[in-house]
Amino acid sequence: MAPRENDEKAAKKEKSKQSQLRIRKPTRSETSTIISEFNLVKSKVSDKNLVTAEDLVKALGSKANVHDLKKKIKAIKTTTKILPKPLEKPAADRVKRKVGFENAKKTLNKWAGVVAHQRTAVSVKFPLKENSMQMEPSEIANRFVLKTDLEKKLEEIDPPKQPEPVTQDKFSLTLAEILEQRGEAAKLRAQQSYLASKARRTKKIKSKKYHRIARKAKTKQQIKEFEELKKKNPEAALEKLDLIDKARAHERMTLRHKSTGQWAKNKQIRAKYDSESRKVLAEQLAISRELTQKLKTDDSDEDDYVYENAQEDVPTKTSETDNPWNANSKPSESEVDAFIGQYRKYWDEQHKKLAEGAKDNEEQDNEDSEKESVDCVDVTQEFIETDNVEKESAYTNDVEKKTLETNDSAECVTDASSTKKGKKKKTKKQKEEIESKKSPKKLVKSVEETTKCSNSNKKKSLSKTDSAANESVQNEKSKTEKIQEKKTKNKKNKKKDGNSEAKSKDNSVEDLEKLGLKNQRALRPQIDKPMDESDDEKERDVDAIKTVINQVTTKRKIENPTLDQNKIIKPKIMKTMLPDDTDEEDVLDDIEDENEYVSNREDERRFTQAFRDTDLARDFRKEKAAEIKKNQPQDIDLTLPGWGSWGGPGIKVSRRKRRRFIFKAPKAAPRRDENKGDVVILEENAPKIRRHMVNDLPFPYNAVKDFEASIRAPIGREFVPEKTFTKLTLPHVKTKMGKIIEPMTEDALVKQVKCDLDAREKKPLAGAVEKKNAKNNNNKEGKKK
Amino acid sequence: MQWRYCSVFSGVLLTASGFSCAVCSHRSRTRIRRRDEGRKRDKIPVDPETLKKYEMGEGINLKKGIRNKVHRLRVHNKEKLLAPMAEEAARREILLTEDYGCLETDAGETTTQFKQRELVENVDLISASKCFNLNLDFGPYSMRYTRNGRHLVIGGKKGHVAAFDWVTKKLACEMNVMESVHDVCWLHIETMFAVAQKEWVYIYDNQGIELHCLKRMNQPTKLEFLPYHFLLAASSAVGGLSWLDVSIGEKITRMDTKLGRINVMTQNPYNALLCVGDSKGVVSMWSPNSHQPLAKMLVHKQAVSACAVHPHGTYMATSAPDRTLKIWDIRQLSGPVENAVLRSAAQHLSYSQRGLLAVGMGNVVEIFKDTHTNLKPYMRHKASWALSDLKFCPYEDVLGLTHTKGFSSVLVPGSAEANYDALETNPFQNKKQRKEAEVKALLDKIQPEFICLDPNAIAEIDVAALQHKLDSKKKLGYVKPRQIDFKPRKTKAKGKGGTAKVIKSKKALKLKAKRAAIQEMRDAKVLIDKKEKKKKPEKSYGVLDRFLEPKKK
Repeated sequence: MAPRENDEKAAKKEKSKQSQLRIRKPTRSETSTIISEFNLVKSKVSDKNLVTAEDLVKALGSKANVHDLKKKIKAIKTTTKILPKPLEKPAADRVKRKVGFENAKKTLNKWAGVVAHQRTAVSVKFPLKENSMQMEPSEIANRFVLKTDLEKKLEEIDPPKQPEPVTQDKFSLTLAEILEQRGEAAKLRAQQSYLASKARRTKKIKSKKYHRIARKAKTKQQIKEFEELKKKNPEAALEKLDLIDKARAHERMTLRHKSTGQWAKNKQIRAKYDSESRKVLAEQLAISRELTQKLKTDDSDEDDYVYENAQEDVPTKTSETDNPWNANSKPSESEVDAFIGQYRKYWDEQHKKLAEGAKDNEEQDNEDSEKESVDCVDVTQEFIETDNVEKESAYTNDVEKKTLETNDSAECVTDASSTKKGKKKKTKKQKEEIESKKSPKKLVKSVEETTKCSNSNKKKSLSKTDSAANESVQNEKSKTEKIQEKKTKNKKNKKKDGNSEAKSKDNSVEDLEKLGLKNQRALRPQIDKPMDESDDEKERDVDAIKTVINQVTTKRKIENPTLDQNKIIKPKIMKTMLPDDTDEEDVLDDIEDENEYVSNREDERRFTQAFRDTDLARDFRKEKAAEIKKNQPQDIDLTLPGWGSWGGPGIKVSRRKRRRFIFKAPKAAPRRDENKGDVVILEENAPKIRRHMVNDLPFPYNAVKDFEASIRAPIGREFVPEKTFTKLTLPHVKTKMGKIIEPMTEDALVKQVKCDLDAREKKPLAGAVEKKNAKNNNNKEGKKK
Repeated sequence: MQWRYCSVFSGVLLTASGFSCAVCSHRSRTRIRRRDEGRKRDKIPVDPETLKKYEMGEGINLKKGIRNKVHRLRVHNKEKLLAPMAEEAARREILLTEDYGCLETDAGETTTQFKQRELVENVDLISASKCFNLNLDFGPYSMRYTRNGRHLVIGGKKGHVAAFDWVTKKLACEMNVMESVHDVCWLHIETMFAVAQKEWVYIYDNQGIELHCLKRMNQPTKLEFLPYHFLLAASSAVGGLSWLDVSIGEKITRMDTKLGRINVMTQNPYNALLCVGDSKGVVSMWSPNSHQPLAKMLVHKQAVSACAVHPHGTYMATSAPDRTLKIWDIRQLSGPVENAVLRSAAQHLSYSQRGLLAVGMGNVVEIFKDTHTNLKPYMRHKASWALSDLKFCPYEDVLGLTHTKGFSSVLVPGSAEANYDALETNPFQNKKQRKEAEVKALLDKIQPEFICLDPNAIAEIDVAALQHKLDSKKKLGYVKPRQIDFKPRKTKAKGKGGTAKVIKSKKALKLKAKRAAIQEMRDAKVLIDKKEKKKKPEKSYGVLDRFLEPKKK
């Protein structure tokens, strides 16, 4: 019983609800004088029985006098356009705001030029508008005009005309102004309506493609803005970055783009057979990946030795490659290695090809070059002569001799006869040889040749660069000796095992490197090309050799900087007057020229003999070395000997330990006295002057150099010329005493609008403009008073 | 081209190149006519060498340097003002009317051959009066001119001290201090001078009244006065150096150089460092701010016997008993730029304002010119007694010599600056001007802390500090509040002790410190990591833990 009753009740309720919800058709049941406008509105429910204007006219019948009325009504019906529904309030507001902002920006930007000018002007005078220089007698001044009695009497009879009081205009605005205002209002409306219609239009667009493009454009725009912000205002950018991060977090939290929804499930079912749906799904996943991509940060705390262990390394690698999150990340080190390895393989293959090709040419080349060297003997002789000219001092001669002695005589001959051209040929060829894996015999020979060449090069450079340096001579000697040793070593190697190809090759390469050929690699002629003996190639080779020479010389320069810095200047002999009380010995010591000076230094030697046990220079150098060492940061050694490995004397600390437990001190900044010879500049940690130095970069400078340049000319009579001083100290703002500084009016701007208006409506506005001018003048006068 | 030069440096080029005045005036007349024709007058070109003298280095890189448009324009305007500055200053050289003196020789003559007697015969009366001798009996003398070259103070080893205006020979004071005198030195004005006596340094006024006895400067050997810093520096026989600020009467620093007795000490006018030559052939440069020398140069293989610095602070001359004379570039701290061997060892050196170098050897003075380019003998003079000191007089072509038997003044044409800057040093200043100059100098006094190798350091940015500042600001966001080691002061008084109270105050202090740290971070506008990541307690599986994958570090 009860359920039934309930059912009935529910049904009733339902019915009554339905009846309430239905919008009733407006009806006019009773006649009344007041007709609600709402009842005339076109009903949504049904407009079948609606009375239209036409119906009413129809009722009038077809009379002639009604005809016009009919026509009119018809015309109205055809011409009227139904206004579109107004935009929703938020959208409309948005449009309004946008238009308002644009217009405000425009109006404000008008001032930008003026403001910038005022801010950058050397000096600004206030009040800005200079009034005319015309002197106008003020009221007070007028009071003091002396009048004769006659004048006074005349005034009594005929009082002078008072200036007419300023009459207020009937209208607050002139016609032009009103027109202008109306125009502006219309413009605003037009802008708004345009935007509104646009918004309506775009809102209706259903195209997915369109929206996708729009979204992409939007993100692009955002990225662009962010980049700009990064430059301009890093803090704001940081905030934005935070926002992005937050968005990413949201994305990670939600199940959007994760292919977990119903749609995705359906697609997944279809995916097996349908490539389209597979694509769509992949796209979805890609989107999610893109959105949840972590922004790149450098994790500096990851130590490299973590990856040392290969066992650990393998699983991490695999996991990394599998992980779709890392798909877009940077290529890992292993990848880079792999790439390099592949590249190397390719390079080797190329070489092999080349070697095969070159083998045929090799022997022929050899012969050719030999021939050439023979041809060049004439040139060499010339060259040697010039060399001799260059040898100015005895020291260099010594060098030459010594080096020659160390070399074999036969080698010496070849050495001397190797002209510039020939040498270059040889070195080039040697390179070729080394690269194309020749027989060991040939190879060693080539190495010898290179060393020879470098020897001669060095000699030349030596004779050119510094002739008188004793120590450098010694250096040179030792170097040549070293090279000799190396040569002999190579020879031994050869004897020991003929197949030590790779080894000797390595050695030769090392040799070359030591001779400064390593850096020259970039300058090598292209190997892939067949050997070309054209002039162009030769020139290039000449350049290459030159660079080698330079490198060698510069290297030596660096090695003993004291010599170059402290140029050893030949002492000048000054024939000064002798004092009276000098000993006879001194008088005898009347030196005439340098050689005598050198030989006649007996007494000096005697003098120094007394100080023999204290070599001052050596002591000073020691002191300097100690000072340098003291200021150099030391490595921190935390290794525990014997911990995790064998301990005891003569046991090396393992590489791993060294890497892990010895903290390398950062390289000390180069000392100021590094290349200065016998000079020590002691650098204080905290010199007192630092307290007084500027330790900040003031706005608006971005470079230390620029700020320092800005204070290069301090403002003061002592530092800059008087003329500049007066200009520099000119006050930025000048004001007149007692003058009120009015805010700037639009008169400061260039008036374009007015002119246009005048041109457009000259006739009717002529009067108005005049009127306005008059009004302005009046205002000015009023202000003056 | 040459006639244009004539109108700029009228004196200089006419004498040098031998142009007759008629030519010059004729040319200038033609120039005037040209102007009358109504053409635009060309500006007379400035000598590039002079221009270089006034240049202040390159300006600001406006394109990259300043981002803000308005500021860039402002800086641009200022740069426009500064651009013609060097040229303007160079043009004003026309106002330096005085010309430097020189010795011109005919063919076959050398400048060294002229004796003082010949010079005196040929110069004007006033100049001739500047060559004179004083015969005094109180042992080897030391001497010093004032900065304007007008006054002279001499001190004899046997206690004789005299101060006088040497041009007019008007004696200010003369006395015997009844002690050995080692050195004398003027202070910032000619009314005060310091005397290094046997035990201490004394300051006297120009009446000979003892003003101060500086017992802090004991056993003095040499004195130097740094005019811009108002510092009186003294070296001692035990190897000490001391600086005293005479404007406030305060000892600035006193230190032991560990060099032994200091016999050679001069100042470098460029950076106000004291150059001390020692027995190990090293010249070390000392500032009052550091207990170590700022730089050391090994100049000779023997003890340094004399040392002089060019007034521009560019070059330094040193000599040793091995009869060598070397010129060093002390701005670069390198050299020697010149190395000479003399016929006898030089004991005294002095640089003139225009870079002439006087070398005293026994009783002989040899004057060299072009010391750093090509050392050439210029003049020589033989005194009757062994020299004890020599100094060039500023703004006068005169070299003062002191010897065992007094003082003599010698003419050296072209030694001094011909044009003086009266705002800097005025040889003709009166009493009022002197007082004014003293006040101005005091207002412009440079603090002793500014003394360092490079005096322009003050116009530079402390880059290291700036870097550190930026780095620390970067780090500030991750800095924890300061740890406070709170150890209570144990008080036995009633109600003061108690653990609860200690803990309470500890908490309060910690909170305070934390707040301070937060505030600091907020001030620095550094984003703070609000949520600190909580470490997840690792799940433990007991013994089975060993089967877990090893965690990556």
